[in-house]
Amino acid sequence: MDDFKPMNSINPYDNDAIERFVLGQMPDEALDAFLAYVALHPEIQAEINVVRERIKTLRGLEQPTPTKPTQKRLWTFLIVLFCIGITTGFWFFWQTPSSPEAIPSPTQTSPPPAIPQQQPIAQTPQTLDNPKVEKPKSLAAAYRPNKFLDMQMSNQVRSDGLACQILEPALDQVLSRQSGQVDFQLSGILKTEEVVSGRTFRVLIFDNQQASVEGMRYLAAFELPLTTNKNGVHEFRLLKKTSLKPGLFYYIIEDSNGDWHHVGRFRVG
Amino acid sequence: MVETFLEPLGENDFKAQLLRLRQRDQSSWAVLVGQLRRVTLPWIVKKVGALPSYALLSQQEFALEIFADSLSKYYDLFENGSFTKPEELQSLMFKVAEFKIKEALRRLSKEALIYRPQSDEDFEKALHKTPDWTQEDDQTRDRAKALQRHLDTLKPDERLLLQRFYAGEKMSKIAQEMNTSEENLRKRKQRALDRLKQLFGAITSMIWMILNP
Repeated sequence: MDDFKPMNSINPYDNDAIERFVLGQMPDEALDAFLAYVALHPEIQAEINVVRERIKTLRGLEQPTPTKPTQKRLWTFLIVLFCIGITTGFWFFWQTPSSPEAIPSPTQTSPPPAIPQQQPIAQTPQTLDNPKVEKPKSLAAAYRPNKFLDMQMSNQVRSDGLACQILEPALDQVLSRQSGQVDFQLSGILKTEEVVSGRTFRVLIFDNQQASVEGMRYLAAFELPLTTNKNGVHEFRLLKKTSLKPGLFYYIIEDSNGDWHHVGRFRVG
Repeated sequence: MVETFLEPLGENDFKAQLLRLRQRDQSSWAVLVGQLRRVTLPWIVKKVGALPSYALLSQQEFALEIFADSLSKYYDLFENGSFTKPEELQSLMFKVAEFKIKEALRRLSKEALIYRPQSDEDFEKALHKTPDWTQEDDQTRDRAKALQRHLDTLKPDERLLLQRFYAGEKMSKIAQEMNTSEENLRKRKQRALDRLKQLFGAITSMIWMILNP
C-alpha cells in the first residue's frame, strides 16, 4: 500500500501513482486499491487519461537512441586521437624532406613544396568514408543477435511433443531485397503424435529488438497453411512478400493458443 | 476458474459482502478487484493476442487499460444489478471485458493515426479508410499535436528523459546511465512537465481571450 499517499479529500493519489499505474509498474496490492478507488471515483479517470495521452504522444514520436556516457567518452577519445594523428602527419610532412634537394637552407623563407601538403588533405575523405567510422552503429545494431530469442532457438522441442523441422530458410540464410521487399519462404514438417487437424498455426516476424518481442510488436504475421500427405506427414509451405530493412530477423511459429513451437533466424541483406 | 472465485471471502456471507460493496466500502472493493484482476487479466491478454507493430502500448499495458476501463462500466452495472451467487459477479466482468476488448482493438489503428506525426496529406488518405472517426478523435489529435510542438521547446536532455521514462524504463536505470541521482532526475522530469503545463495553460488563456474579447 506504499502507493496510497493521501493528497487531499478529493483525490488521494498523486501524479506519480497514476503514472506507475498506467506504465504497469504498480505492485499488485496497491494496484487493487487504486483500481477500486477509480471504480468508485470515476472523476479520477480524466487525470488518468491525461497521463495516457502524454505517454502515447511521446511513444508516437520517434524514439531516439540514448547515448551512454561511456559511448560519449569513447567518441571524444577517438576524435582527439584522429586530430592528433592529422597534426602529427602534417608536422612530419613539413619537417621531413622528400629529397635532399628539397632541404631548405636556414635562410630560405619560401614556402615548402606543395606536394607534402596535398597528401594529408587527400587522405581525409578516405578516412571519413571508412565504414568503421561512419556507419557501424546503426548497422551493428540491426544485426545484433537477440539473446532471449537465441535461447528459445536452442530449446525447440516443446513439452507437448510437437516439433518443427524447418527445410527453408536455413539458419541465418540471407534473403535479398528487391524494391524494399523480400520473398519470405518457409517450409518444413510438423512432427507430432497428436492429431493436428483443426489446429491453426501462424508465423510472426520480429526484428532483433527485445522490446519488440516483449511487447509482441511483430513486423508481419502470416497464417501457416498445413497439409497432410499420403504418409500422414504434416507439411507446411509458405511464400510471402514482405517489406523488411537490412538486418537480423526472427520468425516464430505459434499456435492459436499463443504457444511457440519454433523460433528461427534469418538475415536481410 | 469460476469455482474458486471469491473463495477467500467464503468466511463471510455473500449477502453481507454484497452489502459492503453496495455501501462503497473501499477495502471490500479492493478485495473484489483483486479477485477479478487475477482471473480476468490473463484472459484479456490471451484474447487480445499479439499486438500489431504500430501499437503504442505493450500487451500487458494494453490489457491493464482494458481491465481498468471495464471496471468503471462494471461498477455502473453492479449498482443496478442483482446477484445471488459469487459467480455472477465474475461472469458480469467477462461480459463487460469482452465488449471493451473489441472496442480497444478497434481503437488501436485510430490511435496510431492520432499519436504518430505525419503529413496532412497522409493523414487525409488514412482518414478516408477510417469511417468511425469522430469529433472526439479530432480533439485528441489536436491535443497530441500541441503536445508534440511543446516537446520541441524542451531541452534535448529533458525531452529524452521524458521519452525514456514514458517508454517504460525505470528511473533508477536511467539515473545510473546518466550518472546522476534518481532524485535529481525526478526533479528534472517534474520541471519539464511543469513547463509543458505552463505552455498548455498559456495557449488555453490565449484562445479564451480571442473568443471572449
